[in-house]
Amino acid sequence: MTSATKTLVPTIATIIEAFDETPDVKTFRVKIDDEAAAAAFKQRPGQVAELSVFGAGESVISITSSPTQTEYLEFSIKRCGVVTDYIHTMGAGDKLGIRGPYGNGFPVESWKGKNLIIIGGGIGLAPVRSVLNYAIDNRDDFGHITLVYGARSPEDLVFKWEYERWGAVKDLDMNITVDCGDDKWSGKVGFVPTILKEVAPSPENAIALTCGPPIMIKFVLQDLAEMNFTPEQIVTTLEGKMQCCVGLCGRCNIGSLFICKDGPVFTLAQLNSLNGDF
Amino acid sequence: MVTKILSAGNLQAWLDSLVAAYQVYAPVEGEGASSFKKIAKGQMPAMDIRTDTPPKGLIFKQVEKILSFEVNPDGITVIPGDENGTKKIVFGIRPCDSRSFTLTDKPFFDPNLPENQYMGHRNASALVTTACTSACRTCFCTSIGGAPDEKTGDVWMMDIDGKYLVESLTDKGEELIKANEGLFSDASADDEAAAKRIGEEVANSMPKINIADAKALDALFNDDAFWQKLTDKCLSCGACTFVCPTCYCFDVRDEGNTRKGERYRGWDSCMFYQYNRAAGGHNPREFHWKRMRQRMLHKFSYFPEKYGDIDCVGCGRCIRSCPVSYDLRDFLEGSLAVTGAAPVGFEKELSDVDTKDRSCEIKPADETVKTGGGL
Repeated sequence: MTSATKTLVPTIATIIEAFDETPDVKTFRVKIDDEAAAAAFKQRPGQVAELSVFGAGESVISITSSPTQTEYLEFSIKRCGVVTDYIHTMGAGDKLGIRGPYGNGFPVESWKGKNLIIIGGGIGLAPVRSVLNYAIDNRDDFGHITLVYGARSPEDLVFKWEYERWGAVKDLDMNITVDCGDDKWSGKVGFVPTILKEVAPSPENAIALTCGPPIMIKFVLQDLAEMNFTPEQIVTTLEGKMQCCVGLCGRCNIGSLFICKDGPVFTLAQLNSLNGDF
Repeated sequence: MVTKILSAGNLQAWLDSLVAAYQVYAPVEGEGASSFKKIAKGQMPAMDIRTDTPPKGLIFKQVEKILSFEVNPDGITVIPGDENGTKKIVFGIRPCDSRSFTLTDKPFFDPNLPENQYMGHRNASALVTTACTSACRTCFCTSIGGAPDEKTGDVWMMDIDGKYLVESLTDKGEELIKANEGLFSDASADDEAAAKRIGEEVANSMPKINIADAKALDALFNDDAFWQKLTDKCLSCGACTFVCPTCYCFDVRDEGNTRKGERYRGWDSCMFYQYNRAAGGHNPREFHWKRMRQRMLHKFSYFPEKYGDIDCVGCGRCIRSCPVSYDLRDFLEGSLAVTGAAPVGFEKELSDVDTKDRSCEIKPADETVKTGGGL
């Protein structure tokens, strides 16, 4: 829930740190200036925020940091449009507009005691990383964690600075893969769905979360079904063209639901029951 | 609430009194298109016409400033756009257009995420509805739950043989009558009966279209051939959404530079290619038939499912304004055939399209009826 009564007017935030993840993805640590607005900004894992570069426009970006990180909000942004091109020129001390958090987020409370299988591709790791770090920070609340993450090449892998820490977490099975390795790469090589089949996680008492390019999601869903995951156990987070992020501007709907407001998190069971373009 | 009689001769006096106290917008013939314009003292609106463009923009502004911003040594100053709205009267609005605001209110008056600027204009406006005493051949309000004499707005009035039966429907409306009480006389039971009779006559003169329910229409989603056929000649020009009183999709744009500028909300159209194109190029509604499907199902399936009402008022403007004569009623009739609810062949319906007359015969031929229009 936004604290602002002026729904479309953002509050001001400052970038406290910015660093490159890949040649076209940059992570920004952001703090909301106004203390009351900062305190009111309470997100759930998987929620999004509308970021503004005043003069360039607004973009809806997933909040990649876990709510357990209260010092700042993290956004990992791929350079692919007017606003994101501009954001990539910004750094520590620069001001952004922010409003949100928006959307439903992942129902992490109802996943207590469950095993989590987190499957990401490319920048698609950003939204599900909020759940991964949330589960790590509340480690006893969740069962076994399996991460399957891949990118096109070693240099396209995001959050490399997190892998050592993640690898040291108990009961966390980390599988990082690339479509195509290079001289220095000694890890797994292969598409995410292929590695997922090798890992072959059990559907018993498990939730599978996935986010990535549409083609990856398509095969991941097929493979999870083959592994006997039910549509209720498979959760994804969607994106789409959004302008307002409050369900008014019209375009991000899937049937009568809006990705920005009713999503972006949907179970496969929900998506199967909806007719829509996405 | 009060019901009164206003003689035709006193209409100008009432308008003048309203103009003295408020901004009054009313139907006015224009150079190219008729629309709602601000009227001056002594100006008689074109009470008989159906405007080419709806009064939508008086409340849901075509361009609305969301905020202005300026970088200064201490950071960025953001000044939100005005939320108060200007006190105004929309006079001579037809029941269908009046009803359109009650529909747009539903998403915009969301208690959790209100659109304050729309609400500001809406709350500052009073609607004086003029019931229809005749129907256009493109009108179909009775098919979507409306009526030519639907009592909607703040004041409702109807021309009954040269005088107006005027009824206040809200406190706001009552104020407009009470402040000018001397101009009105008491209405009799005969007057009310006359209005009822006229309303029924007009309603009976209009063909009724059966409309499949929201769920049945949603089931049409996967019938690609249906939508492709329906959209065959669509140019994606967006005229239909521009003149639609209930279309409310918008875009958000920044003007200026990164040191000083404004952010605006402006009307958008789901018929445009760019409407759904995300950064990176992904476009789930790349083809025009997918955009047509979105427009039709939003109005007749998604919106009703969410809010209980069809998001169309049957004004027929999209039919009159389409450069390639797409007729919304073909969709409604065709969809019934496809869902098995009607025996009409969809192919036949479409082939008949170009022989139908889509003009609205209501426009007055007499030049003297035209008013100012220069405002």
